[in-house]
Amino acid sequence: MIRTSLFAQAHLDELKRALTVYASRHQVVADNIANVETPGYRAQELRFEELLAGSQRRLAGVRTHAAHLPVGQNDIADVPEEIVAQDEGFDNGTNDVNIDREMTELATTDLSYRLATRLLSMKYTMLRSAVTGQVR
Amino acid sequence: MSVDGVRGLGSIDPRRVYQAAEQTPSPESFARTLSQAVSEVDALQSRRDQMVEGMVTGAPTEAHDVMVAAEEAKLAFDMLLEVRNKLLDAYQEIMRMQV
Amino acid sequence: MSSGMFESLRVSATGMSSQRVKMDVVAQNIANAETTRTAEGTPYRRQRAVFQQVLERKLARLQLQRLRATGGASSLTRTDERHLPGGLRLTRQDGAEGVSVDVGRAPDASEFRVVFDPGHPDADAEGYVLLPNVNVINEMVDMITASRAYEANVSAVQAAKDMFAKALEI
Repeated sequence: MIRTSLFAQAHLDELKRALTVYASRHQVVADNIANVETPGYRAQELRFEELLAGSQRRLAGVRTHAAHLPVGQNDIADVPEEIVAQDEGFDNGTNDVNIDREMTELATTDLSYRLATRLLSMKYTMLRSAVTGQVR
Repeated sequence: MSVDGVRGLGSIDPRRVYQAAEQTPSPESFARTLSQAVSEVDALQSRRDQMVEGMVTGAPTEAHDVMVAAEEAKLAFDMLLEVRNKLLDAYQEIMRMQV
Repeated sequence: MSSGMFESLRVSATGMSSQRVKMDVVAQNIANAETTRTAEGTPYRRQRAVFQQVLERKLARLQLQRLRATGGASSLTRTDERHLPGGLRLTRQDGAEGVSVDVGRAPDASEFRVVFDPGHPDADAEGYVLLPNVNVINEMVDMITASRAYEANVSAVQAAKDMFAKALEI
């Protein structure tokens, strides 16, 4: 009852998934930065957004009757993230870590994570005020 | 990279929240709804406790997962509390009625 | 507490300390760029920082066990009725392996520089002096690179701290 009436309709899952993705991506970027001068190291990246877009493009079945089972639409929580080698062919003299790209990715991920936590927090605040009439 | 897939905050409709609590025509569904809510709150609190235990013993635990589990457990509990208060109010009002 | 972002703090820390070692090596090279006679009597040989990835064991995981009140191998013995039943026991478990970066020092095997300077106290019979295989320009470039990489690791630590602090506000 609480799950269906309170949490499910607030679309919290997408934000929660985003948080996990950003946290994992930070780890990958930190690894790249720490190993910027390690010979033989291969720069890695965490792919998720392209995979998400790909899964949404798959046809979603149309339900003409409530008894029809939902078909095709993927749950955002089911889209796995991938950690793969960047393979951009960059050469910093020792390996293929592009420190400028990593710094940009670091800042972007940081800000995205902070945006997601703020949005999630706001959603919980709205739910709380809907339930108790108070904000915290 | 933009934060895609994030729905607008307008997706939360407080009226639907109250509608869920208000659809109780019979005593059996009252009891059933209440016991369902209690076990959901219990489950959420267990999940939160497990997270905290994992955090303390060194299991890989993300900060946001712990906070989310804590927040949802509290929110669910608060909702249960509100339901309980409303039930109590309804009961007292019934008892006040003159026969 | 062990979490993905905390792990990255540790990795960033190893990155920082590795770059510091490299800066020490560079400083040592620059300081000894003209040293023709070390304690061993030979010219100073350039040192280089060698980076490598390291697989290491994470801190041992603690296992929390809830002990049953009555019977069984994992129960506690109550010697007095006032003792509370059950309890908790902590045991250690080997953690999974983590990855970080480490740096070592190794001598640069390239040839010493040969300079004709008969007046030098360490000149040989033909008047040639062996000078350290240190190129100060290259060392300065290495210093700048190490400094930049160090700052990048600092930024990574800062970002992790920011993210963690924001998560607490959920």
